[in-house]
Amino acid sequence: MPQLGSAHDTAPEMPLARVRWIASGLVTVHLIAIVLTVVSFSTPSFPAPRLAVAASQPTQPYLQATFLNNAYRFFAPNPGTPSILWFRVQYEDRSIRWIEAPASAGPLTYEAYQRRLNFTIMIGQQLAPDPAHEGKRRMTPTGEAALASCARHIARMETREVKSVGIYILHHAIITPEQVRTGWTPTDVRTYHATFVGAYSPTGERMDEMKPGVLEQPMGHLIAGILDVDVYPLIRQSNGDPVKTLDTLGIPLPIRRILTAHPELLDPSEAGPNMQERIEKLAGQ
Amino acid sequence: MKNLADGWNRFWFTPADPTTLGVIRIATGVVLFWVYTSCTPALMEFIGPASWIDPQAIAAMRDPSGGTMWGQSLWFHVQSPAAIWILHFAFLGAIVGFTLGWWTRTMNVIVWLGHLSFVHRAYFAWSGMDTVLAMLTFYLMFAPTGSALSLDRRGQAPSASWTANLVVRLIQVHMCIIYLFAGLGKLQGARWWDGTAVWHTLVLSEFAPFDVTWLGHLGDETCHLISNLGVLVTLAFEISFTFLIWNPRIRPVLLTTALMLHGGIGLFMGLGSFGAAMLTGCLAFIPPETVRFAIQACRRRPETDGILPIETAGARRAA
Repeated sequence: MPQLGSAHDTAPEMPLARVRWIASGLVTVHLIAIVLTVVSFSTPSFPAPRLAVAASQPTQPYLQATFLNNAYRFFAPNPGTPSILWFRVQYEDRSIRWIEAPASAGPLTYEAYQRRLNFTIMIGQQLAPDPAHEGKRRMTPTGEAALASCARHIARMETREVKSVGIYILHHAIITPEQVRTGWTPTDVRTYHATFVGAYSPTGERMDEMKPGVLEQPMGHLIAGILDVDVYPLIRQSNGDPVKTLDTLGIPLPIRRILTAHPELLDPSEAGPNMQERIEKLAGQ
Repeated sequence: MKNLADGWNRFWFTPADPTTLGVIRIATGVVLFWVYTSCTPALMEFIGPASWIDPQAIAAMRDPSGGTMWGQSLWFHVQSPAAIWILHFAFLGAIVGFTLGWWTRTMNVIVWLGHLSFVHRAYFAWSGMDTVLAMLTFYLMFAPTGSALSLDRRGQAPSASWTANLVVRLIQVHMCIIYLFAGLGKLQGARWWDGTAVWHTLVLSEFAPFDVTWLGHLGDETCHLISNLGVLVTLAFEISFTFLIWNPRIRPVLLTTALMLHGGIGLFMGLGSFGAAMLTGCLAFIPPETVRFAIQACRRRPETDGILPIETAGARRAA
């Protein structure tokens, strides 16, 4: 019986020389194509050799079609910081609801959750340096198409008629052991960095004045804005339980956590121009 | 030169027992079935007409720079929800057939096409697991994977075949490429150099099934020690795998490390299916005799029950 890594003589069963030549040629071309794709992968700090990039081009139709065009940089060069999406859905009746992606999932649908997470991470990676404005970022064309599609998806899934979908990409930083000891949790609001990437119509047209730019927002600023525009009017209007209001609005979990930990922030009479500073101070406590 | 050619021929074309491939087929099928069954409730989010990435976006994204994207998908052409559900359940059925070894070659082709169709259509929703599964289902199409541990050949002895060896070798070489470049790629990263990468992967709250940030209360020294050890083991394993896995004495150590590494990634990062796909690829390094011995040990029944002694050329000549 043949042993792995050795070669016992079973010559009668070897293919004919002609077949061996053909198979050897195909295997060689295939493996060269795989290796060329792997070495032609660039990172910002380590651009790939031009020769490898050029040589890998002819093999791309074959490798793309067979989905073998991966560079296999698993958790490399660094374990990435995940990005998630927050959607601010405004309906035609002027009401608001926030939606988080990926939504959490049970163990039996965990793979669907993973795929949604892959999706939001890949969209986060489409925030690239803006060639026209140094130091600023903007979405790649692929990212813009994806965001427009997200807006259409949300609009189609909602039972009420949607007027606009505002989209935020949140990069989630990793907490350090020192931060753990000072009381931070993995979903501490201070670990999120928000970027507003546009408001879209239900048909996927970008509607905001900032287009095609994006706006990086400190979390304190974002939370102050949410309180001012979405939360306080509803609390004033319904005169109900402020925490219930957060549930009604679907306020994202990290924000809801800080607001429920500091209920004084939910008091509209306490609102003022220094809200952002207050939130940042409370978040840092 | 002749030695080189002989070595090449022996490496790729020596007929081999397909039992290892039978196990790889079953493991691949189980992983695929779990992944796609788990995704079924959210199917329309990924490939439906109103999915996260809808057909309009696909059309825009497939040709952003005038170039052509070659990935094709059945779901580019089928947009009726009813048809999508019917075809998806047919795909799940094909995975079951593939796993059990029923009409194996045909099912293998359907499963490969179905998997590629999903990842090309779902676009941003794929991960490393999908690339490994695409690799495995692709190679298995070229081997007689249904000639061992299958309904197709129930009660019959599997025949040694050079294509079985060729495909096992392709999977082995491909796994070496994956590990080598996953390891070398990490050497470009600051987090792997400063030893904090494992801490970073452990506390990713979006991935982690449970919170291990309590480790932070053990102090910086302890956290750095744990993380540095994890980094060292990961880098040593991934970079050395390509070179040491061919040594039969070291191979069990490496495969055990692979089991622990991917088990750890599954446990602490929730990437169990990725780990299962990688470990399925690693099965290619387990000799068929070992696989048969393990199966017999599990069954504790005579060898002639389903898994017959391999029919070699010598045995046939003797008969």
